[in-house]
Amino acid sequence: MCRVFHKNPANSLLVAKQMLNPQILTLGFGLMVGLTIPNSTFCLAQGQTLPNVHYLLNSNQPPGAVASMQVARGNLGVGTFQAVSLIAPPGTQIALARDGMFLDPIDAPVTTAMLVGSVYRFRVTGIPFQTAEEVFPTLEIIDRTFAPNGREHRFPIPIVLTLEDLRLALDGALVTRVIYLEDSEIAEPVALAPGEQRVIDVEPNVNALKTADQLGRPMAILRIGSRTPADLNGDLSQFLFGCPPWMPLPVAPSREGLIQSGLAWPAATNVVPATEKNNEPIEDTPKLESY
Amino acid sequence: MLRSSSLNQRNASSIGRPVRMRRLQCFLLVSLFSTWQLGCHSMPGLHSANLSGPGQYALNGSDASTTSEPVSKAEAPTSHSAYFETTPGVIPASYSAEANLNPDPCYVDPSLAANCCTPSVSDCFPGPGVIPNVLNVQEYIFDGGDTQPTMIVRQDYSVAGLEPTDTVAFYETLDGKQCITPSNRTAIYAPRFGSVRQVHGMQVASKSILTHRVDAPLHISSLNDQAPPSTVMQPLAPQGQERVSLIDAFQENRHGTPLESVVPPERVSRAIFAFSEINFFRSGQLDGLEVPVVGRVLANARTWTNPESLGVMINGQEALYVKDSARAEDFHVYDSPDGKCTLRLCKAASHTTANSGDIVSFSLRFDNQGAQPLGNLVLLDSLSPRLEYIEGSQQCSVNASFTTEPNSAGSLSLRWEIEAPLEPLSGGVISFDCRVR
Repeated sequence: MCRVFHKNPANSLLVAKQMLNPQILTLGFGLMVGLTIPNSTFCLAQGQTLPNVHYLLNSNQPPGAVASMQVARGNLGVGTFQAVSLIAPPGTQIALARDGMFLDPIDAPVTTAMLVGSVYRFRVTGIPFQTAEEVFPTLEIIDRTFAPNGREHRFPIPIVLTLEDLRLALDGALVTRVIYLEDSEIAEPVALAPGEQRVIDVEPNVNALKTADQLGRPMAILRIGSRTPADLNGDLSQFLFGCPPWMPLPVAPSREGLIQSGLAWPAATNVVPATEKNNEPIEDTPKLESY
Repeated sequence: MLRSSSLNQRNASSIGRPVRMRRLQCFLLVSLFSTWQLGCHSMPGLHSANLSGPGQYALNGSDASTTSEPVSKAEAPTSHSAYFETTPGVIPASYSAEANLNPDPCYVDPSLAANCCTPSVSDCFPGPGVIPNVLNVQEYIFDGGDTQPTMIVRQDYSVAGLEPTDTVAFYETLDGKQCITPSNRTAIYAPRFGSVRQVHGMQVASKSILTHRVDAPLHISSLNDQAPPSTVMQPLAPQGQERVSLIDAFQENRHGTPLESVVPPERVSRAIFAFSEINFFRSGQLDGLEVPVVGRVLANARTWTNPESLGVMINGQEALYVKDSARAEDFHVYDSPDGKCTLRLCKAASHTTANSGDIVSFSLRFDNQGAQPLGNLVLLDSLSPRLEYIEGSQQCSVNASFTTEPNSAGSLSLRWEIEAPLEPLSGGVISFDCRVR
């Protein structure tokens, strides 16, 4: 019996695809074939996967482990800039790091381009009802999207920091979010408001990266509440993971916002509505008559 | 059955002409169809709108026309709020302000016109700006076509095998043959992101960052391999290459004309008499102002030097398209016997990119391309789980009964039953709106 996996094996984070040693890869493939064929039909088509796959990577690994593996694999997106939008509750401010130090905070949301395969540390202040507190989340970019050329900024990866996450982090918990690209063919038929993100909570003993990999394509890992710097005025290069580069992006306005702002819009001619007869539903389908 | 042949076999360029003409026809068809879409929706402004063109709106405190060199480290401000407000020059070419000012997703890439006439959906529309492939297929919403298993029609006109995202029409010919015709497959770039959240207590968190967990099996030293500065410029180089224009190249390569290369007018032979007034043919230097003149003179010269050619002037203006008898002609032989499935079903989406909450308008154009009428035409469209049909938004240009029913993906399956037989060379258009989930 083949398990439905809904995942392209070429992009998967499966261990069988990531073994760099050819001998291990050969052995693993041999075991995979030997264990699979007697039990069931060997199915590797899209939408299916191998059973009992061991995941080498785990979301509980330290920041940079998954991204380093992506770099070691020579993943296609490594080395490119990916549009990322940091979304936080109203009033929250976010400060990115540059040249070994945090810059002045700006109001969220912050849309920027980050390097795939890097780990970014940023500073969150102005948390509602806890304005004196601050957290230093990390964001690990592990994959990229393939937006149409010139429109990458319109489809950033939304990194949502909810108020609940920030409060949990301030209470001493480590909140890990694996942001994944949802597979459109198996997406839940639920409507989401702009800026809203579907969240699936998993137990601490579950590999969140594996769960995200089964639902789509993991894109980034957000960790909130892991560490705080000993001295903000000291050497922060290690705390900032080498301060990888990022680039600012202008925020693309929405179409509805453009309409409401009264900007020029192509005039559309009036349309004669369809007759009532065309829109009448038939009582019992089908009632076709041959001619 | 379509056959094509060329009379003039000596003209090698004429071999590719039917293909080019077909692409041109497809492109014009899309243009006309987009124009129709702009004027036939009951919700003007929410879809099918063209925002292209500068000055439509300003970016957030940034100069949209500025594309300067990256800011050096010495000049970099200490506040990155200043970056967002005053230094948009660090934006790469792929994130250019020009691209940001053109959020219109309804553009058609002529270079992709080769894909516009696939064997299954001949004479339909070109694909989106980016062709989905195995790498980015998860980022698209598809609609149209007939995925496996293919649809079948039972005797009571119920169907099986209508999967989500399928768009299929079935009908009958005069001799009672039942035909099933799928539409082309449209793709909308609309990635949606979710997140898996995991909350650890303090003890669990401390375990996860112990040193021995770091060293086995991964070495933390691999973090140093990222070398961020060395990879900064890699993705920028190809973008810059694409933006070199022809006019700039001419201006940059302009140099003086050697005196010896200037040909006196009296040495110009009669064969190129028509071009003797053009500086390019005298000195080899093409002035930008003479480009239209050269084009006009070339057309005149072709008429003058070939007495058998045909020249057409309409109100003093040269005709845009003249079918010259001196060129090769194509033969198109149409053979439409009875019982042929001659329905053409084309589907188009008003947007090629969308975000959650956006409204996308779909249009179905169906035509009877045969010589016999088609009856009992039913069009089915099973929507993707990411598309939510907006109630009451459907319109049909011919009399039809419209019903909906839930499909297996949690969305709706739309059904139009065309009441009258579809006469030869006639057709209709169906339009409906969907909200992207």
